[in-house]
Amino acid sequence: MKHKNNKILAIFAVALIGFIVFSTSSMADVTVDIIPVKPSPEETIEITAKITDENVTAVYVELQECNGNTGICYSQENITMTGMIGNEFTSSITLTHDDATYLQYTIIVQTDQGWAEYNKDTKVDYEISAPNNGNTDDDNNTPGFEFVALALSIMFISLILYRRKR
Amino acid sequence: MKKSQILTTSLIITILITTGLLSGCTTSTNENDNGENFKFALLDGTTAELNDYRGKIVILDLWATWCSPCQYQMLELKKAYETYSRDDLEILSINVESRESNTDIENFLNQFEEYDYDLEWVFGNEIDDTKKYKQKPDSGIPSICFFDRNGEVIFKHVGVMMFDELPEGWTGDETLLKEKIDEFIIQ
Repeated sequence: MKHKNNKILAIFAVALIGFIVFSTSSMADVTVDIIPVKPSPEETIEITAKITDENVTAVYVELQECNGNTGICYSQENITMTGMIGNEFTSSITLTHDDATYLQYTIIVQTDQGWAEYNKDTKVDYEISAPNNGNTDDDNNTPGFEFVALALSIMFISLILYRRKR
Repeated sequence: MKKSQILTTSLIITILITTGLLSGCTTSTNENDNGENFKFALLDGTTAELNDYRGKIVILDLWATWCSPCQYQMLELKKAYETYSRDDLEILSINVESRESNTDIENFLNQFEEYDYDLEWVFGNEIDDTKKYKQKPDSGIPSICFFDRNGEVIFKHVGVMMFDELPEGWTGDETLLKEKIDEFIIQ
């Protein structure tokens, strides 16, 4: 009886180990790189996903842009990522909302076994340039109107002095 | 003409007139309803319409599970839902992300429940058309649209709308849900 119990226990242990090995091996590992790391609004970004699974048939990225100050989000359709070398997939995406302060993405991987989501709703903050309080670069660097007025004044005074001398 | 014949004829005429008047009344009621209407799916698989909620102020909340500001909006809507009577106010939170299933929505609601935030109002998806109920057709979410008791659009808003208090450092729109609901309930 004791011998039989040990046998059942052994079979159960083997099945459990097999299940753990199978479940961990069937789950792909996905590493994502975004260039630039801190994108600016309306910039074009390159998103690359390195996937360890050999049986990948398609990869998509689901991307949303949000404004954290006003609490507004905009959705984009699923974007297909194209295969590069080995199991690297990439996509070039132009961000479309000038008021967005961050994006979030999810990588969707299709294999023989179906769909799986990775890095769900991963947030990437934007590089937001500080407001310049109305002092534009144009004001600081261009002499413009003031210079023309000064030149005209000098010419006018020179003309009067020249006429007086005569 | 016999007396009984006259009686029968007048009875038939009376019935015809009454039927005509009644059908006229029914038609005129529908004709007077110039409010908006749209269909949407409830989470139990049945279909509902906006005009099921005539006689109440209706807040249409367009959202998606991936949208963090939409989650915040739900907490503010909960305050509104608990403050006003169901005779006055109804909230319809309609998911606008076609990739999200009923299970996704139910999982989302369960997450709120885990923190003792029961969102008990109407949740659905598969709405006919959302563009006309957004501030601009391409506006983002959360998007709020108020309908009056007759189903007419009376206010649209995009972005999180606080209930009655703005948090410190808030840089979003300062229009408050409570102010708007009070205004529309009195009207």
